[in-house]
Amino acid sequence: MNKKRAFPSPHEVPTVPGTEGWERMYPYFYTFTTEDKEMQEYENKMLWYYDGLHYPQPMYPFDLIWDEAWYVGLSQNNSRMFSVPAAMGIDHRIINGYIYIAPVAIDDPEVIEKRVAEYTKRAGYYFENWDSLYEKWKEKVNDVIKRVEEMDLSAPAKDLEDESSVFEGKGITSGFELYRNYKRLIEYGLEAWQYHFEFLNLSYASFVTLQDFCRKVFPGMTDATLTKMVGGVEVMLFKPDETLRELAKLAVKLGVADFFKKSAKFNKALSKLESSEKGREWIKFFKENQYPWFHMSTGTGWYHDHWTWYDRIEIPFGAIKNYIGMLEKGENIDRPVEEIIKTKEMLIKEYTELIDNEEDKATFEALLGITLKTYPYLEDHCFYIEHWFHGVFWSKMRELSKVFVEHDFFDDVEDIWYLNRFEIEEALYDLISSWATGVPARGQKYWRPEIKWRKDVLDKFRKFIPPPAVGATPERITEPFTIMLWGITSSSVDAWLDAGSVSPEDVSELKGFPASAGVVEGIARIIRSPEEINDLQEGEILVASTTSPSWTPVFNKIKAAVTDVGGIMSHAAIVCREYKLPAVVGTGFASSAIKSGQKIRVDGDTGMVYILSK
Amino acid sequence: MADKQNYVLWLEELPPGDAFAAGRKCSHLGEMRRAGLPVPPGFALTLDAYKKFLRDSGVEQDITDYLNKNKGRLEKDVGMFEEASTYIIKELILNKGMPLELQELIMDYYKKLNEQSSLENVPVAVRSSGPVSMPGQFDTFLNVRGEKDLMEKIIHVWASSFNARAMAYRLQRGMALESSPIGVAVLKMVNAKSSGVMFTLDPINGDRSRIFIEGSWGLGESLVSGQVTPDKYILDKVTLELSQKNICRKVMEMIYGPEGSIVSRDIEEERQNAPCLTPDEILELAKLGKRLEKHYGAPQDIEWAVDQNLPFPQNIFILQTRPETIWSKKTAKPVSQTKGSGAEIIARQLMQGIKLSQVKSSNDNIAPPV
Repeated sequence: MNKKRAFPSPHEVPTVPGTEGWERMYPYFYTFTTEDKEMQEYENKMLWYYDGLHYPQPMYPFDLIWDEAWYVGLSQNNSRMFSVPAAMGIDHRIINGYIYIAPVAIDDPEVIEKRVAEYTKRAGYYFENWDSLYEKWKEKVNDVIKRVEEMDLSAPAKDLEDESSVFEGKGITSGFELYRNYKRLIEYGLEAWQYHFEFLNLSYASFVTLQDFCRKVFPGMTDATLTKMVGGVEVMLFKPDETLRELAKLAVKLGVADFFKKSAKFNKALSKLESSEKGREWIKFFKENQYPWFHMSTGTGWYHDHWTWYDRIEIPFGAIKNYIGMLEKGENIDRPVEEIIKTKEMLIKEYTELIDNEEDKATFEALLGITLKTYPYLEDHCFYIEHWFHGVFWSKMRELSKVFVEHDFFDDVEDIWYLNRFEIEEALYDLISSWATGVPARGQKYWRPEIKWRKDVLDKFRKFIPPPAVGATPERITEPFTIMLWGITSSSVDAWLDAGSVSPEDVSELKGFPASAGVVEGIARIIRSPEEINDLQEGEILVASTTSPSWTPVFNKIKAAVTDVGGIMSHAAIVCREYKLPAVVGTGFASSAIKSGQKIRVDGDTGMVYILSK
Repeated sequence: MADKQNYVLWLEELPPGDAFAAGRKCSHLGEMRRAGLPVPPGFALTLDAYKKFLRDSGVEQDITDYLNKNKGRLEKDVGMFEEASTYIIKELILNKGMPLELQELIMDYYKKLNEQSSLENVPVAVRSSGPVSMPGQFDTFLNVRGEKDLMEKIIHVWASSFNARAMAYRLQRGMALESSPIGVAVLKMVNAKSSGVMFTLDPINGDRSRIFIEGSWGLGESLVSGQVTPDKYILDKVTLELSQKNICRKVMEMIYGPEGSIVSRDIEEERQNAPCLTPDEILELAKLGKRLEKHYGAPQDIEWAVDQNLPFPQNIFILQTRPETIWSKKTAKPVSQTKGSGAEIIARQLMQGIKLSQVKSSNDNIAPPV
C-alpha cells in the first residue's frame, strides 16, 4: 500500500477547540506565522520536532522561561561563541502548548571552512584548559545559586517604610526592591543557563565525534559500551542518592532503623528519633548533609511542579526505608565504584589494543582523551542547574507569588505559573503602583478570569497528542545536540512517520535505541508524573514519556525502563547503565501504546520492546 | 637411530615449536594442550615413525625402485601422477602391515586413551600432520575404533603422502619424490552435541571488536559442507556481551554411525528451532576465542565442538585454530580523515553531521518517498 509519508505543515495543525487565542499566553515570537510570508516559507522548510524529552507536558506560561533560556544559550554557543562549523542554533516554536524545535544549518562551504579554523582555536582552548575552566565554572555557578538563595522577595512594607530608609538616605523603597529583585531573579535564571551551555556543546561535540569514530572502527560497538568507557565515576547526579544510602546505613548503625520502618510518614519517624539520643545523632547528621543534595528534583526540574526532595520529603524518606530494608536483608547497597573503575580501565585498554594502525590509534587516543575530560560534565551539570538552581528558583518564585496572593491578585500561590515572565513584571509593577498610590490594583480584576481561562486551556492541551514532527526533513543534521540528546536519525524520523500512521492500540512492538544492555520480561507500569512514582511495584518495568535521574531510588525496584523520548544520553539511559538494567529509549510512543499491567519484553540489546499480553 | 620413545608421543610432550617432530598440526595441538586450552587429548606419530614404517616394511625400497623406473615419464607427463600414485598407494603401501614395534607402541597409547575416557575402543580421529602447510592434501579419518581400524587408518594417512597432488607438489618444488614424512595425530573424538566455527573478528566487516560464532547440531561436518543454515551469535569481544543471535531451523545433523562411519539423520521437531548452544556455552567459547587470539597474537579461525556427555565447562573443545586470513591480510586502512588536534578532528566531524532521508512537508505537494 502506498502510504503517504509526510509530516503535517506547521501551519496546518488545528487549534484545540475552545482554546482559540492561546497564543497570547506565550511570547509573540514563539508562534508559527502565516502573516509574514517569508517567515512562513522558512518555517515550512524546516524539520520541527516535538521536544518531548524536556516537555512531556504542555507549557505553563511561566515555565517557558527555561525554554527561552536555552533557545538563546545553546544557540549562541554553537553560532557565536565556539563557531560550530555547520550549525547555527536551534529555533523554537510552540503549538498548542507543546514546544517544537528545529536545528538551523549552515550550507556555504566557504563559511564552514572558516568556522572550522575558529572552532579548532576556540574549542581547542577549552579542551586544553578544561579542568581549570571547569573549576572556574563551578565558582560562577555556585555564586549565581548563592545570589538567588539570598534574595529577598518578601512583600513591600505594610504601612510606612522602615525608618532606616530615611535615616540612612537610601532613596529607594521595599516596593521598588521587590520589583528589582524579581527582575534580578529572572536575570540570574537566564545567567545560570548561560553557564549551563558554556561546556555542554563542547562535551556533546567531543562525544559525538568519538562515537562516530568508534562506529567506523568497531561497527559493532554499542553506545552503552562507549558510555561505560567515558562515563564519570564521581558523578554529582549520584550524590543525592548516595546521601540517602549513607542515611540508611547510619540508621542501621545507630540502631534506630525501627523508627523508620514503623513510621508511615517522615514526621512520625522524626518525632520518634527526637526522643532518643541516637535518634538525635541521626537528625544532626541528616541536617548537616542534606544540603544541597535535597534540591534534587522529583522530576527533571524543568517544571515548577517538579518538587524537590525538600518539598516532598516522603520521596527520599521512602527511599531510605527501602535501603534500610535492603541492608537488613544483608544486601550491599553501595555503588560498585571499584567495579565501575575496573570496567572502564579494561574497556579503554582492550579497545585501544584492538586498533591495528598507528593513525587511528592516535585519533582514538586524542578523542578519548578529550571525551574523558568532557564527559563527566554531561552528567554533572544537570545537578547544578536543573536540580539545585531550579529548585531554589521555583521556591523564590513561590515567595513572590505569596505577595501577589496577599495583594489579592491571585487566589492561590500556584496561580503565578499561568502568567509568563514578561506579564509577571507588568503585574508586579501594577502591584507596586497600587502599593505606592493606595489605589486598588487593576490586576486584581484583570488576572483572575484570565488565569481561570488559561487553566482550562492547559487542561485541553493536555488531552492533545502533539505530532512528533512538523515541516520537512533537511538533507543533513549537523547540530550536535539534535543528534545526541534527541537522537534524531533517519530511523527515528521514519519511526515518527510510522507513529503518525498507526494508532497506538494496534502496536505490538516498538523500536527505540538500545540504551542499556540485557533482555527481561515483566509487567509494565506507566508513570506520567513524579507523583505516580511510588505506585511502582518491585520487579515492574518502568514505562514513561521520559524519566529523571532523581527517580534513581526506584531504579532499585524496577527490572527495566522504556521511554518515549531520548537518545543514549538521556537520563533514563544513563541511570539504567549504571544500575545494569535493560533500557530502550526514544520509542516514540511506548507510554501510549503500552498499558499498565501488560506483560512486555524489553530487549536492551536490540532496542526492541514487545507487548506480550493485550 | 632414534630412541623408540620418539615414535609416539602425547601431544603435550612434543618439543615446543618444532614442526618437524610430528608435523604442524600436532605441534599446534601440543602447544594448545600445554597452554591449558581444551583440545581433545591424543597422541602423535612422529615423522620418525613414518620413516620407520617405510623402512621396516620394506616399502621404501619398492617405491624407490618404482620411481627410478618411471622417473622420465613422471617428469614429462602430469597424467602419469595418477597412475603412479594409485600404484604406490594400493599396490605397495596398503597391503603392508604395521611393523610390530610400532604397533605395540601405538596400542600402548591407545589403551591409555581408553582408560582416560573410561571407554573401550574409544572413537578417535586420525589426522594427517604435514611439517609444511599443505591444507587438505592428506587424508583424515573420523570415528576410528579399535586396534585393527586404527592401524589401518594410520597407514592410510601415511599412504596419502603419495597422492597425486602431493607428489606433483613435491616435484614442482624440486623435493625428493620418494619420501615426504608426515606426522599423524590420533585424537579422542568429541561426541559432539553441537559444533561449529568461531572467528575472533566479524567476518562480514572485519570488526576486530567482535566474536562471531556459527554452530549447528551434531558433528561439524554438516556445517562445513553447507548442508544446514547454522545458528549465528555475535558477541562484543571486549565486554563479552551477546549482541546478536540468529537461531535458524536446523533439519539434519551428522552423528557417529556403526563401525566408524558418520551418518546424517533428521532432527526431531522440538530441536529444529532450538539454539544449539546455551548462554554459558556461548560465553565460554567466546572467552576461549579471546584467549586463542591473545596466545597467537592474531585473529583466529576456530573449529569447536560441545561434547554431549561431559558436564559444562569440560564439554567445550577446540578442534582446530588457525590465523584468520581474509581480513587480517588486508592492510588496515585508517578511517581517520583528519590529522591534527582533537579539536580539529571534532570540527571536521561536526561539519559532516548525519544524513537524513528526505521527507517534505505535506503541503509541498510533492510525492513523498515511499
